[in-house]
Amino acid sequence: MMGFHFEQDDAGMAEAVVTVSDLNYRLARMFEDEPDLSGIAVIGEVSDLKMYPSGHWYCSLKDAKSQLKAVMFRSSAQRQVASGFIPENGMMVVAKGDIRVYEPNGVYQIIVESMAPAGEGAKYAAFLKLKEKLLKEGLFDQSRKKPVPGFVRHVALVTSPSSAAARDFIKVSRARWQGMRITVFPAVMQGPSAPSSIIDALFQADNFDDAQVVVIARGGGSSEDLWCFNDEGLARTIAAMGKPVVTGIGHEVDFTIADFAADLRASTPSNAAELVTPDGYGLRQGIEAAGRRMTARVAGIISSARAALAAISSKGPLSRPMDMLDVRRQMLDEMGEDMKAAMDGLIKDARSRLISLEASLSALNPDAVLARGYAVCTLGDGTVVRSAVQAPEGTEVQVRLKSGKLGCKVKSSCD
Amino acid sequence: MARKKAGAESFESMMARLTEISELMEERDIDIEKAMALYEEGYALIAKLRAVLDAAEEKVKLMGQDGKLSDLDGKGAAR
Repeated sequence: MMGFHFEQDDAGMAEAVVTVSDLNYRLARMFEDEPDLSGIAVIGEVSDLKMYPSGHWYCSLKDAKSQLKAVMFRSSAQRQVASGFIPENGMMVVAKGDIRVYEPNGVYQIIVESMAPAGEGAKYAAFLKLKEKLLKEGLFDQSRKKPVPGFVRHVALVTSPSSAAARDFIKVSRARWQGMRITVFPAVMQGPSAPSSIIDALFQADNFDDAQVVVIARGGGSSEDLWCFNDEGLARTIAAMGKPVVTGIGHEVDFTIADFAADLRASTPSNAAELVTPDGYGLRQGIEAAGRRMTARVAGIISSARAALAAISSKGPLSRPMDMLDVRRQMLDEMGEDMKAAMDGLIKDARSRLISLEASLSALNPDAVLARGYAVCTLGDGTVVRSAVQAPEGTEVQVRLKSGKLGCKVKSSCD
Repeated sequence: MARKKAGAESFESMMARLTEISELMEERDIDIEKAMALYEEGYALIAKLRAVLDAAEEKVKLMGQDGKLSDLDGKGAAR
């Protein structure tokens, strides 16, 4: 592509001589004129990355056999930072730019305009992008997450039935409580067919009414092995499930999109078993302790009631029944007193009324009239003489005075 | 199916009721008749809860392609 030749002088024998500067200058122009060297994309691993205070970045791009000097000038570096991808040593990147000669050193290098992650780096970038997208959609919101029941009777386990993950889950679960049912929904847990296989198993598990929780269990592996759990469709399926989903995928350090979409993320399959299986021993301890507390409390209540009863029967009237009679007797006595007093009152009252009655009666007593100087005249038969006609001349009458009687003969009687 | 769910929920509600009973019984001025009634109810709950926890070991089942369940064994995973 870059054929160039030095002109020979006429003698043909003498070697042409060219200065270093001249050579580098001419090479630089040739690089510039060569279309294939401009706007080229080079894939390689970043090494010796230096970011200078001036804002320029320098590094080498290398592969197994060769390396290429690279420089990213400040304006490009700033755009690179803004893009969100910042290269690091060891990353595979695709660098886009122009191959140019640096004349002072006589080296060629790539003037990088932009860099993008390649290989694993590209996958990681895609992972971050998907995570960001689903996060913005609210797929990972805490408010969406369904609570995992405290006491699970039956769990649907989506896993590879013969895997270490299945074995670990079952072993740990059985150690906690053997009464929880486990139904395994087989799925391919690795490779390109894994996402659709897991999605199918999840649908089945979600429609399996008896189970209350769905667990996705996958043992540790390379990030490549676990990559299927970064599938968008799988994440959406997990989020749309009716039952709560617990993920136990890989090791503690492994976070997949499926983990973010799940209602609860366990660090490993064993941890998922711990989180989901009721703690039979702990629950039993709690129940027995509650029973013991209740028994002790009832015993306490009964004994204090008994003590109270004893106190009443030893100090109160119950302890001396005869006292009770005395009390009654006393009460009767007191009642008698009261009645007597009441009767006395009545009698006194009656007496005073009698006296006043007597007084008014005595005013009507003829004796009292006589006392005032009047006299009563009666005939011999006792008839009171009210008219002179009753006692003609010569009639013998008696006259009763206040004190004593007079026997009299009427001398004259005139009507 | 719904029955099983209710059973599972009732374990939690039974636990909650047992806790409540324990607290009620701790009240200072509880009268003896109420305490005895709570005690009886509490012990009935404890018996039920024990029975749930004493459930025999469940076998691990495998959901087949045909939607039929089989015991998961002989594949090295169950034990």
